[in-house]
Amino acid sequence: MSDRHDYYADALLSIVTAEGSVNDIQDELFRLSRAIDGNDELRQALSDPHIPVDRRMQVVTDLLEGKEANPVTVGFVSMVVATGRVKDLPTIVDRFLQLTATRTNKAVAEVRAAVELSDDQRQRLAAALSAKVGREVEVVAVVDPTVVGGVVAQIGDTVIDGSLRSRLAQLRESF
Amino acid sequence: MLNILILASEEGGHAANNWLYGDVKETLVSAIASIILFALLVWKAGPAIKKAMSDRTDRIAGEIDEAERARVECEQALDQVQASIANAEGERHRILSDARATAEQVKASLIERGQQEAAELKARAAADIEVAKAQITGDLQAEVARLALGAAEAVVGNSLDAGTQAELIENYIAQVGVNA
Repeated sequence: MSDRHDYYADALLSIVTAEGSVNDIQDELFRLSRAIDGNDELRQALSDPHIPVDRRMQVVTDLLEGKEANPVTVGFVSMVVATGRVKDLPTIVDRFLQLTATRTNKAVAEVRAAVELSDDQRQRLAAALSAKVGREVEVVAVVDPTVVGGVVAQIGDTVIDGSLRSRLAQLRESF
Repeated sequence: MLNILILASEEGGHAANNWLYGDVKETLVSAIASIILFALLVWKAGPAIKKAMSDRTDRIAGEIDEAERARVECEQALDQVQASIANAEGERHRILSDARATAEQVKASLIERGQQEAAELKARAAADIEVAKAQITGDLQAEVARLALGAAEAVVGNSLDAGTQAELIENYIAQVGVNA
């Protein structure tokens, strides 16, 4: 991880801390970064220097505004797009999540599910994961249709896979 | 003394002139002189002549012996050659017989080795076929499984409604809580 990523993550953490709504911003950034990371076409469009910056920023705004995103999230992602560092966004967000977890002494659980988790499910899942790892866990969730069903949670290097995808894969391996 | 005898014969030579023996005295003296001369010759030269004759006889005898020995050797050599000629036919038969026996052994050995190699090739080919069959069967099974699972995945994915998804998530939360 380079210093540049750390600078971006530090600056973002300072802003988020000042503005509040840390959980919402973490969630939004995590989802967007994973969406960009998993979609080559979107990533190329946002990093294409031949497309005017205004147009690229509009794409980001459209992506986030449709979900009533926090203005801090919109502003930060727009800045990253404007500076042509879209490819670095997943790394910056990961670093930001690590810094947040370190500051708050929490572990970050990256959770993937085939459908959106309700607030109640997120809270109960965070509680269950906290009990499992022995420290408070903050859940950042993303919808991932490839999971098929169930949930995959990753805390650091630990993966707790309860997805139908993995069960089908195990079934395939058994043949 | 010989000179005296010659002079005496010359002095008395005129007494008789017989056409056959002449003067008797002269003849007698000549005869005595001849005898003496002959005796001297026998006495002085006899041994040398005898020795020369003896040597010559020995030499001739030796040459005869040598010739005899050579003849015997030639006869022996001739016998050997004749024996060899006689044995050559037997030897030819023996060599031919040995060659035939060796050829038969080589032929039998080659046939045996060929049969052995053919059997090994056959066994190897059979093993390869079995391996290929097993591999193809395995590949087919894997492909069928992959297709079946792909279809099952699609069916499962499409058939999961919101209630089922929520149930799966609840199960996951409960499972994590149980294992905590």
